Amino acid sequence: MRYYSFEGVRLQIRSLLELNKELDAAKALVRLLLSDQRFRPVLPTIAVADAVARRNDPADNAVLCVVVLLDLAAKMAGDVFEGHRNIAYEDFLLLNGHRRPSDLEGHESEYKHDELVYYLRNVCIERIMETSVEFDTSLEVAEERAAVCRLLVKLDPANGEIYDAEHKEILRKLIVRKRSREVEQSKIYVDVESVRATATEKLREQFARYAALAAAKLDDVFFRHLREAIDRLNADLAASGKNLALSLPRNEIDDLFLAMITLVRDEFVSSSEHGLDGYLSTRIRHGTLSGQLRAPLEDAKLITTRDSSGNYKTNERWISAEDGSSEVQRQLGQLLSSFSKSYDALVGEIKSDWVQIRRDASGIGMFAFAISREQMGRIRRQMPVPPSLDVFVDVVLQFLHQELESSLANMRAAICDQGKVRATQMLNELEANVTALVALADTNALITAIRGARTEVQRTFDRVEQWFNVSRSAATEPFLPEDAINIATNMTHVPFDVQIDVSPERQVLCRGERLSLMVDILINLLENVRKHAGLDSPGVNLSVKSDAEAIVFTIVNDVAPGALTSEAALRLTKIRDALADPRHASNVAKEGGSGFHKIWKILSHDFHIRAPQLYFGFVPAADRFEVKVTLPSESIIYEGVSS
Amino acid sequence: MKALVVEDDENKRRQIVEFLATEFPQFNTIIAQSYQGGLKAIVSEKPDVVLLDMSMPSFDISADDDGGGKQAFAGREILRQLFRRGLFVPVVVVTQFDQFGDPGSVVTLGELDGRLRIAYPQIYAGAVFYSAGSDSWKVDLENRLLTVLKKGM
Repeated sequence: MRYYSFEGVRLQIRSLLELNKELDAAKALVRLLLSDQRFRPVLPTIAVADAVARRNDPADNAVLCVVVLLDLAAKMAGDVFEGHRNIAYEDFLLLNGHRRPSDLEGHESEYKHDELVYYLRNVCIERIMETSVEFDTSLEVAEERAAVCRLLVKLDPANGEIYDAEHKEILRKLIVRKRSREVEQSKIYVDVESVRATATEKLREQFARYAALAAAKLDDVFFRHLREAIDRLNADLAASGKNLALSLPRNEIDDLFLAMITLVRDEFVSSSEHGLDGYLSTRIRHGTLSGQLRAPLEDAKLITTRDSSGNYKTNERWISAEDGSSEVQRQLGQLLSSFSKSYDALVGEIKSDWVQIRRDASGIGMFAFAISREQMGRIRRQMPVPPSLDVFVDVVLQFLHQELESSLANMRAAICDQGKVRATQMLNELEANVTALVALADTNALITAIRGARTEVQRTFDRVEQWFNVSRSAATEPFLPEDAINIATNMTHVPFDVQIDVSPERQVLCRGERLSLMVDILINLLENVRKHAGLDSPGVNLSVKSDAEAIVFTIVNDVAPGALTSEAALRLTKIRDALADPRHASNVAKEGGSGFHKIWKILSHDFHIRAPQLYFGFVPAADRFEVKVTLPSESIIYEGVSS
Repeated sequence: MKALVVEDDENKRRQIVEFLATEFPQFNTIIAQSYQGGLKAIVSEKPDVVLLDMSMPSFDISADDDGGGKQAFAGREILRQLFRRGLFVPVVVVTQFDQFGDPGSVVTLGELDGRLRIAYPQIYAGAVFYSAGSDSWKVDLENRLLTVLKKGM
């Protein structure tokens, strides 16, 4: 019976097309298609859509079934109807007096229910809404889709769970995007309160001596008068034929003042616990920078990693895919390997030579905090009479902030004017060299990948440039531990999948200002896997479990067979011993290690945990490595919420 | 006279702008960096000619916006929107790709050029293949622009 009904409608549609009644044909077809999806492959959807499109009458798009028809046709025939469908999406809204899909709420009765649900569910999606001039940002589009999902829950409760899940996923992505920006904007950080407290404590004695000298008026005027007197005496002695030159005593007050400034500076700049260098190391140098800058090239499969002997691995994506002679493949392999080497050298230079504190005249380090006599004079002129230690520390910190701003401006300029330009040139050269092989092999796909990657690399350098700004407003909104995991995995661009398990029993909210620190820990954990697993794609499981006492992150990853050697075990023992040593902080700013010193520092200094719990070790007989980090609830939890 | 360059690749955009400044100093050049930015700039700025990239993000990329999805045929969609709105400004497509779309539904630049000529004859003024490592695109672009100017701008 159903079959004959279907055949009848099919004949009716054909007849309507013959009679040039395209809209009636569209209505009949859409009615049938939405009532039973099994008819989709055998109905003349493309023919009807083509007939409607050829009418080229914008007023047709006011009819909802036309939009549905064009979307169904786009799904079947792809590219040909997508443009028509996109325009129909927007026309339908405008011609019916609406601006956005969510404006349809309250007008549901004006449209056929199944067509409206189809339109909202399948057409009002982000990819299509992005083509409408109604929206100014991708954020607006995502928020609109979330609103559409909420409307769909009401209109189509039978599929409510699907819309709810999509709604949650959109909100999660929006949160991760927003919080990722907050974390990216907090990379340049100094724990100023800790610097102030430490410096004030260390300077108490020296400053009392300085204040006493200042009170005795043993200041610049005193030493100038003294210098003039000595010069006159030396001149008189010389005139009388006596060769007894008297030398000027050291300006003790100057020396003392400079020493005090230097002490504050070193706490601000070099302290591994609360100074700039510690955060540069933890938040930029330890993998994050390299991961970001390599990501667009890894996505395009243009860059490989080194093997254990230090040579770049064969680029199997392009070497095996190119249809050329073995000589061409050899040349291509050399080009890609050489490119990987050059690009990594640039990333290494930025990390090792630029994002460093300048300590001498070698030119290494773009963060320069040398103190000239002129600057010292400026600081001194801001001192009150009688001098105050608190004011002194504040004035020096203000000066250091100005120097930091200046270094950051230089760093941003270097990233854009040197780093980005050199990376672009490398890709230009790679393209030119690969193009030269075209005569011998089909390298079009590779050239297309290079060109696409070049645009993305430029954007990545622009994004990294923005890291080099003084940390803006600290995050204050509470967050879920899984948000931190998502942000960390997004930011590290690790070339392996991370299986994330979140303990479902209890959800906890963490204090917003702890977000960057938690992300720092997780990035270090992921980077450790990248550096030390000895595998290109290790299996990685990252779980988080929360209870009233603590939040525990556990990361377990595969390691290369045979990684558990007696040397490796000894190395881990040494790290554990070093962490127990109060002097462990000296290892924080070092690169290339396990990252455990950095995590330990975050736990002990930034989270103020007296006895940090950081377990790490091989899982015996399983070729796996496990790290467990425990964050006591009092150091992080904002509010416990039972889910 | 106003020329609008719609291009998301910074290096390519700079080269095109420099080329226009040298060869067509009569143009006041403005730029847009996405499908949305380009479309809105055409509507608001009313340029005399548009140099249009084909594959672009939906929105301008900034510290606060990842640009949304990348549209493989953003340039073609802009042409479609111009035609729909009756904005008959001459458009030269300048692209560094000779094929577009996903594997399985790839469209070559030659095929796309043919389709655009048929679909938008009042607007579309041809395609120029850009290569960062060669200057031949400049000659091609110069000829296209001279043709556009000769046609009565």
